[in-house]
Amino acid sequence: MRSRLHFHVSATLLLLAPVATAADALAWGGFVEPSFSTVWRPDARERDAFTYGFEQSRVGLHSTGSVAAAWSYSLELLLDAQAINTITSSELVDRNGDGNSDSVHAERRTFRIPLVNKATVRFAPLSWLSIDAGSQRIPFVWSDLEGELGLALGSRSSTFERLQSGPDLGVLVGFQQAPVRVSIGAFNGYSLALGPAGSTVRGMAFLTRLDISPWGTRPLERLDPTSAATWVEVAVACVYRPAEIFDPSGEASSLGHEVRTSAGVRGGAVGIAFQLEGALRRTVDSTRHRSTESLAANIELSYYRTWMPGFGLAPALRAGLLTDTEGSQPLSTVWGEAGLLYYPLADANTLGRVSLGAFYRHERELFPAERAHLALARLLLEF
Amino acid sequence: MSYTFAVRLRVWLFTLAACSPTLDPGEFGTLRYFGNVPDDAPLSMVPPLADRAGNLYVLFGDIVRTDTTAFIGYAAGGWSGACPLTRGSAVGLHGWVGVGRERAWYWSGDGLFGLRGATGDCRELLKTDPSTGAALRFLAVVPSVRESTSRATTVAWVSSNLSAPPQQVLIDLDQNVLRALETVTSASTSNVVVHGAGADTDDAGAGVIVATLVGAEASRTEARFIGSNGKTATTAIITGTAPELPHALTGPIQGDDSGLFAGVTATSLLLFDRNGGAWNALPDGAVGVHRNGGKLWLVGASDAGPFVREITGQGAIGPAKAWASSTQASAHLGTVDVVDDRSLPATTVQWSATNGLGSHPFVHPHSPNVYGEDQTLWVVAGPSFKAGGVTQTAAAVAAVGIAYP
Repeated sequence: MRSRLHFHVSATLLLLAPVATAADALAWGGFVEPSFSTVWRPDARERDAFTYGFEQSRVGLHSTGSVAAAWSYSLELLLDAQAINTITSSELVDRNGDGNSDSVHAERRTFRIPLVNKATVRFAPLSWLSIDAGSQRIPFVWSDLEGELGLALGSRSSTFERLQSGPDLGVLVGFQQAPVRVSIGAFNGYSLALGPAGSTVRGMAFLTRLDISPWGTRPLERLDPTSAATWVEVAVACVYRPAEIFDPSGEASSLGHEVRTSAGVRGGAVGIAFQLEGALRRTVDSTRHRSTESLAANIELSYYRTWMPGFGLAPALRAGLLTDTEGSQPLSTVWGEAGLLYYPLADANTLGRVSLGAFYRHERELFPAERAHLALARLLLEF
Repeated sequence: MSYTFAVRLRVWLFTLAACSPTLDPGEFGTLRYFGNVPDDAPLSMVPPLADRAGNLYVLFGDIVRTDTTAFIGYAAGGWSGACPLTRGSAVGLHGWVGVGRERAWYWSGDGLFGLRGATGDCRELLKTDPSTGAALRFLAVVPSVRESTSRATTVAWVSSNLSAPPQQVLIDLDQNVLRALETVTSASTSNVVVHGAGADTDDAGAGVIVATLVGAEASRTEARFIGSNGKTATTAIITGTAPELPHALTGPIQGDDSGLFAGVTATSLLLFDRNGGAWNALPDGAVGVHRNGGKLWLVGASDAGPFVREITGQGAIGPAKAWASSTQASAHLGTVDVVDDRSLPATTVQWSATNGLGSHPFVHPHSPNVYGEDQTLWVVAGPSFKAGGVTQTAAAVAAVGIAYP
């Protein structure tokens, strides 16, 4: 049944697709980003208190293009020093307290940044309709709509990355009629967290998102030397995921529900851009009878100016708050970030393809108190 | 039209299901059969605990019994089986020390023990001093764990079989090491009688230990407030007649948001703050002090049923109020469905269930642990039977709604 359906869909798509030319299909770009970082955690053990190195270095490849009228694709690959799955710890397990080990427990960790950041096919048969299918982030907050190079401070907000990390698999349908864009989507929900560890969770995540641009038009690039336009956008999004949860024996054990909503406003004027977003998440399942709640807020401020040819500067600030409640034991974390990007090849019209950046991030867990400081210097070359 | 309405209604119902409170006061959630324990109900147990990941931890035992047994219920389903783990024959289970992301710790007899919800591992921590090899005795352990991204710690009083005086130590629960920071006693102290310990809710991993330091000429009872760094912050003098036997406080000392601390023995009520305190007469029927909503509550039972009495910040005891949550929980028991997931796949059995802990639900010397918003975990007793000449009782644990008047 599955192969028949697949054949049917493929055949339909073939009939709709005009013949492509090879030149349209290959438009590659990317970036190389060596960086050096130091992390200072004053409350940690001596071994962990001060670490440094080039672990944050990254390489990215992206390709976008149209292969036929109405048909296009987008591909983003991200490689970094941490993109590996490895055993992070192991321990002997004594299940009956007799002092003898009964088994070995190993913990594995897949590091945060995935290899395929985005791989989608877009079908846009009408000016107001587009369908994106494949690997993509669920567009819950604005940073999920951006590629790696479009992010302020060169990274995604830690606040929202705790709620939703990495790309998902699914389809997103967009209806656009200026100044409104409505998006609905269905995703596998891999990037969301639902259900207890060790269980299998199965259920689609459904998205509804509304973007309105009541005033002005946002520049295509976050840092646009030619634009000092005044613009404002507002957005709300809701993700709902009903899921069936299976215990380790494979039997259905409970039903889970997750609802998350976000709202935000962003805008720009005289080269200054601001962004304010908040999100709320709540999950509950029928076995544990315990809800999990998260409240997140994030604010960003950035500015760009080319002072003279060869001297473009972009300072940026970001602050975030995340309160995570599992049961009634809240964990609150605040972030404060500052960065300065220097564009040595900038001129009046372009930023240039090289930038040097210096960033600082302060992370503080409020209860129990714990602090961490990250300082990072990076060189970014786009090609 | 009707189809559209039905679809819309289902969506709203799903949304409401995710956003509404899950259990009313006294209402039980899914009952999970964790094992069989000795004797009839009420069972010798302390209120269960859950970690942040949703794993459940159940302890059988009390201060008198010396056969503490731990059960670990995995969040995804299934149980680890009984883990009998205590040390020493003088006293039994003192209670929980704390809970972390996927683990919990308890203090029983002379030992400190750790449970891991991710693996089912249970083991004794720091049975010996890593530096000297001397056997360690945990005289007191503060029931509070400071777990942050980088480490998990608690503080305790420890003595060894060497003749050195007891030490106040900071314990690294991840690395299984301790650091001695202060000597508990002075040169004139001949003996230490520990009455109990409590958590400082303003500082995770910090707490207070109440003890009588017996000297050759005079004795004094003090409440020693210890910071999460393991160092003494302040010491308050306790007046009145202190119990002669150690560990007389029947549950952990509880503190409210104003800085008042309280605990009960079989006959007395201890009230103190950082400036001092005293042993007082115990009101009739009271069995323990609970903390809820930043306040302290004296709980107990009389002929009229379960009651609670608020302890105000000034140490005054409010009037007794009927505890509706407890009464409602009793009313919800009787014939109930119980999920037996001790081995998977789970099956459902039916019990004629009764309250498992204390004379009435929630009326216990140990404060029920927070499980969710206005929810705790409680033990329900099922059928009893004879095995090897010993009475055994099937027992289950469940989330239950709770509210204080």
